[in-house]
Formats: sequence, C-alpha cells, structure tokens
Amino acid sequence: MTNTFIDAKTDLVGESINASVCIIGAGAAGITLARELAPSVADVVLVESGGLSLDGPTQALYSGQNLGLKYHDLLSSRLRYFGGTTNHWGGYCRYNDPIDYRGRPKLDVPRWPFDETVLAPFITRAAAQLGLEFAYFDPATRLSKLGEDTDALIDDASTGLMTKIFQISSKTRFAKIYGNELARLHNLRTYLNLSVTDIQLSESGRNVTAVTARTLTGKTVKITANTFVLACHAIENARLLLASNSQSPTGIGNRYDHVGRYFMDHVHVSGTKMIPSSSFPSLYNFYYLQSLGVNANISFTDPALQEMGILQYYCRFLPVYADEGVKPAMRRLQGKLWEPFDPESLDDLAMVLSDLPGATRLARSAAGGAPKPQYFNLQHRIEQAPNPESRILLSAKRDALGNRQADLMWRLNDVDYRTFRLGQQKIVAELSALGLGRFMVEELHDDYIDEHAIGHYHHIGTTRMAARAEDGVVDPNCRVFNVDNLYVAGSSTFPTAGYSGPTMMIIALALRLADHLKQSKAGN
Amino acid sequence: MVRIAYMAAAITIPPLASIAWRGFSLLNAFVALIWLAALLAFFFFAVAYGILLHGLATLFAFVIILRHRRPGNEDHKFTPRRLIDYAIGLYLILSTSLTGSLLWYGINAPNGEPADNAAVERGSKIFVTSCHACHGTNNELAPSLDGIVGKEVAANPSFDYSAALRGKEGVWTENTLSRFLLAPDQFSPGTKMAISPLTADEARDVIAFLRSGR
Repeated sequence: MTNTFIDAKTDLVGESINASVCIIGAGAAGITLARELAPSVADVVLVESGGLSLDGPTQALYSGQNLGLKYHDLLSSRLRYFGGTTNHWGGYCRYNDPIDYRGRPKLDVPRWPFDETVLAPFITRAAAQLGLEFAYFDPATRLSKLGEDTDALIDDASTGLMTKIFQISSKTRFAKIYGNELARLHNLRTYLNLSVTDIQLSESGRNVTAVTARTLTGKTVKITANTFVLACHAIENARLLLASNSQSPTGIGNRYDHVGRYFMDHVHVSGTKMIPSSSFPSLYNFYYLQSLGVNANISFTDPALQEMGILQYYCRFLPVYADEGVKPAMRRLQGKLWEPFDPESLDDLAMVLSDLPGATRLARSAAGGAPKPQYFNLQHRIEQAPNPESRILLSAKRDALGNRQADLMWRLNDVDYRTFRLGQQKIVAELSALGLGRFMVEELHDDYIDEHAIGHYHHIGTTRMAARAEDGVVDPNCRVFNVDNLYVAGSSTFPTAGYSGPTMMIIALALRLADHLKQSKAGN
Repeated sequence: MVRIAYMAAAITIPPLASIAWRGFSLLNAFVALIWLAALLAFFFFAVAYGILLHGLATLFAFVIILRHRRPGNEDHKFTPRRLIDYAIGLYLILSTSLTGSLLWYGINAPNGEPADNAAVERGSKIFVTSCHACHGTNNELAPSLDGIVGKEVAANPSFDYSAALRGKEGVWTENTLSRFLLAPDQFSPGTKMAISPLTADEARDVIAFLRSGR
C-alpha cells in the first residue's frame, strides 16, 4: 500500500501539483469522495496532512486552546493521518429523524435545505457500505432477532417515549478497509504528509485558483485544480477558510459571518440515579445491549419533542452492579493471578469479599448476563443548539507550519439547559408512572450542566449548509456560496447536530456530493 | 523505630518461644531455618512464595517425624501432649507467614499516602478530556494505562512505541510520568503521544487517578 501513495517529503513531489479535483483530508468524507470520483473522473488527488500512522508533530498541528466550557484536548480530538478519525471511531450509526431536517423557529434552530427523502437513498448506500442491515434500525426487528422480549419495549406503554437504536458498525477503519482500493485506482494520486495551509482566490473572489500546502520538512507545494473539496473536519475546515484571508480580511465564504460559528457536539451530563423495579427491561441496560452489539436509548417521539419545545434528547442507563472500588479490585486481582498474596492483592481480595453479591453481579454481567444492578446512573445526552457564540476563533499563536492555531469557544445556551432539564423530568415522570423504578433526582441546574458537560468528539456545524447565502456558508450542494469551485464535506456542513451519530451522515452527504460533482462535470 | 523493634520481635520471638517450649532440638533448628527462608521469601519475592515454602517445609517436617516413628521408640509416639506440641509448631509456622505478610505490607504500603480522593476525581476528568480518546477501552491506538505506575516503560509487546520510548529503561514512576506529561516531546523526542502539555497540578491529579486504578 505504502509505495503507491506518494510521500510529499520525498523528491517525488516538486513545487507544484496539478489535478482536476483536489480533495483535502483523507478521513471518512475524503476517502468516500475519492472512492466515488476516481473511477469516473480523471486525475483526482487526495491530500492528507499525516502519514499512515499517528505521529506527534503532525498531530500537534491541531494544538489550540479551549476558551469556553471544558472540552477535550483539541490536539487529540481528531486524528491527523490517513483514515482520519475513523482510526478510532466507535462505529455508532444512526440516521437523522424527520424532525432534524425541519426548522424549529421557537428554538432558533434552522431547517436543513432539504428533507429526509433527498438523503434517504444516500443513507441507504452509506448503511450498506458500513455493513448495516437497514431494517435493524427498527428496535422491535433488531431485538426480536436477538431473541429479546420486544414486549418490554417502552414505546407502546408510554406517551411520547420512544426507543431509538444505534447500530454499531464493524467496518470502521477506513484506512485498512479502503487503503488498497485507493492505491489501485489509476485516476487517483494520494499524497501523504502534505498539509494545506492556505486557499487562494482569483481576483474576482469567485474561484479558487490554488491552495498552498507544506510539509513539516519545510517544503512548499502549490496545488492547482478545477475543483477543490475541503474534507478536514469542523475545526480545520473553518480554520482554513478563516485563515485564508489574503483577499478578504474575514476569510473565505464569510461575508455573513457564519464561518466557525455554531460549533455543536452531542453533549452529555450524568446525574440522577434510578433504582430499578423488577419490571425494568434489561434491554435498556447499556452494558448488556453493548455486549449484544447494539445500543438502544430511551428518547422522545417527534411530536413529544415539539410539544415540550426541546431539542433531541436521549437517556442512557449505566448499571452500577457493586460498591465503588469492587470492579477495579476484581480487575487487578485478575491481572495478578500469579501473585495472589501480594499484599495489595490482599486489600483487593478484602474489597471483593466485602461486597460478594456485587462481585457476583459484575461477573455475571461480564459473562453476558443482565443481572439487576444496585442502581442505574442516568446519562442525559442532547444535540446541542446551533449557537453563534459557540465557535472557532483564530489564535495569535501559530503552529509549526506558521499557520494560526484554532481555538474553541465551546458554549451551551438556554435551549440546551432547558432540553437537559425537561428531558430528565419527562423520563423521571414517565418511568415512575410505569412503576419501572424509583429515582434519586439530581437537579440539572445550569451551573451543574456547565460543570459536568462532556463532549462526544462530534464536531458539527462550523460551515453550515443553507438555502440562502445570508444564512450559511455552503449551499445545498455543499458548495461555498459565491465561490464556484470550492466545496466542503463533512459534519461542518450540518445545520443541526440531529439525533444521529454523524459519521454515517457524513458518508451519505459525501456520496451525494460525489454524485453532484460527477453530474456537474465539475472535474472537467 | 517502633516498626524495626516489631520486626526484630517478629523474627526472633516465635523460634525462641518454640525452643523455650521444646528445648533445643534438630526439629526446632529446622523450624527456625524455615522461618528465615520464609521471611526472606516474603521480603524479596511475593508473599505467595513465602507461604508456599512454608507449606512445603511443614509437610516435609511432618514426613520426617512420621518416618522417625519406630516401634518401641516412645519418644515418637503420638501422645496427646505431643500432638499439642505439633499443633503449636504448626501454629508458629503459620503465624510467621502472617507476621511476614503484615511486615511486608507495613514496609511497602506507607510509600503511597492514602489516595487523595479530590485529586483522583479531578484526575478522572482530565483523563476523559486528554487521554481517553486514545487510551480508552478497546482502543488499538495507544497502549492501556492499567497499572501504569510501576509498570515497565514501553511494556506492551503489541504496541509500536517510538524509538525514544523503547530506548528507555526501568518502570514508570510518578516522577517520570509527570515529566512525560509536562513536556512529551522533551521527555521522549518524536513520541507518538498526542497530548497538549499538562500543567504540574493537572499532571499530579491525572497520575493520582491512574494510581487509583479506577
């Protein structure tokens, strides 16, 4: 595989590269585009900043500060090498619900410029590529196939509650799965270790004439092409558009000040315990279902969401089987099987003996069972509202290639807080009414949420798609408004985060963009 | 000081008591020897080996006694008094095992102050935002951090460590881990670990979390 990819650090690459289509970034979107385009479009290049494995100095190009709520280390929140973040993607897949495409003006949430019927065929293709059985998104179908009792599903018993399934794909490592295929495509050249740092527009500003790319060894390469596709990710796409400001001080595609704004994630907060009654269905036990390769959560129907006036919400039930400390003690004992009387192991043994019923439950759970836990920790997860104040900002600091770093101002707004609060209230009220458990409620105050909010590495929304130039950065075909040959791929184009896991949606949108590029002959 | 006195007492009192009870004999000398061997095993190997050694030696001692029994040799008959003697001998041997392990523990446990729960809690949050993406469960990107404090550097045979890290000797200590986290690229030039350098406080907290084994 390696010898058919071109390492930009070597003499194989000179001062310029010319192509018909230049795809920047070899992650889920970029690899999908390359696979789709290269068989029929001549002379496609795929430009990847990293090599074939994780590398500290390349990864450090992602350095940036968290200015807002506590977020993940930006340096490692995406992977900067061939295959991109699919190199550690968990494989959770789901499509958007119909409500995700609708505007929700009361919540200040814009509509997508098309509805679910437009994306449906591409989602079907994406699901097939990921090895998913489309019918299995229906919980009853999936669970009865696994021999679970589907009468236990909460959907019919309650009003407004709905079980939504994530399927877990095993075809997640794009570099391994598609690397050889890409290497064999005659129309495709893949460049490694080549980082795009600047986009140049023509004088009129209506065309990208070239992009500048650099290597960490100090080489500068100019790439010219008829069509460019930015397929980095939501921080890097915005950063490149903002930093390419030689013609316009606010960057490219930023006439209406949307670039870098509306940074969204699927945020979760833990709080509230539930002591289950004997009728609480074990199929909502997170670890039990995970052991079956499925994920199901309790969320709300579209009408219920509208009535409550909240964003997408779902609740995960994380079982606690034993007293604190028993689980790690068991794990350490297992690790020290050959020195069972190491004094520290004696402590661990004492810990396990102090809660034998709990230890037994842990063992049964590890063996694939679903024992009744002491209690469940509730994990509340929401789609974040598109909030203009939650955004990417260019820093004064520069990376090793001289480019300005991107900082993240991650913020939640009142709609987010409200969604957490009302979501939890509804779950507590409905499950109590059904006699499924007793709750020890933790009030989800704004401060509590700010303190405990955890992002999910889903970077969404910084170059959002809209029907009109005034409302977004890219048009419904993912082309940057007022620039004829610059497209953006990936979750940065999503106007809302939606219920879905983003990767399957990214692939679906990339398939759609590939079709558009082939039809419009943009490559010629 | 108290601990040393206790140690000395633990080492000497049981064999002396045994000799006082039975008078000096080959068997008593043998018991004292086992004692020493077991103590050495406690201190220099795992306690498990010490106890194993005791078990074997005890068995051995009984075999000798049984083989010594000859008709007419009154000295080796199992009189009640004699059974009590053996029981006491056995008790002394086992109590040594216990004393040994307690001693070992007394010496080794104090080096870790009891875990600072607040630091562990803060550390767990840093772990989520800075480490989990690569070091999380079921992740092939980076080696597991289970029991990393005290584990040999670059110990996972299936992970392709950077040359610099592979070249390092010894085990991870709080000190070396802290240096690595404060300045990854200085500690191990060309490292594959992608992390924004932590502050000294953050490093201390995350190490406390890693030590806690949670």
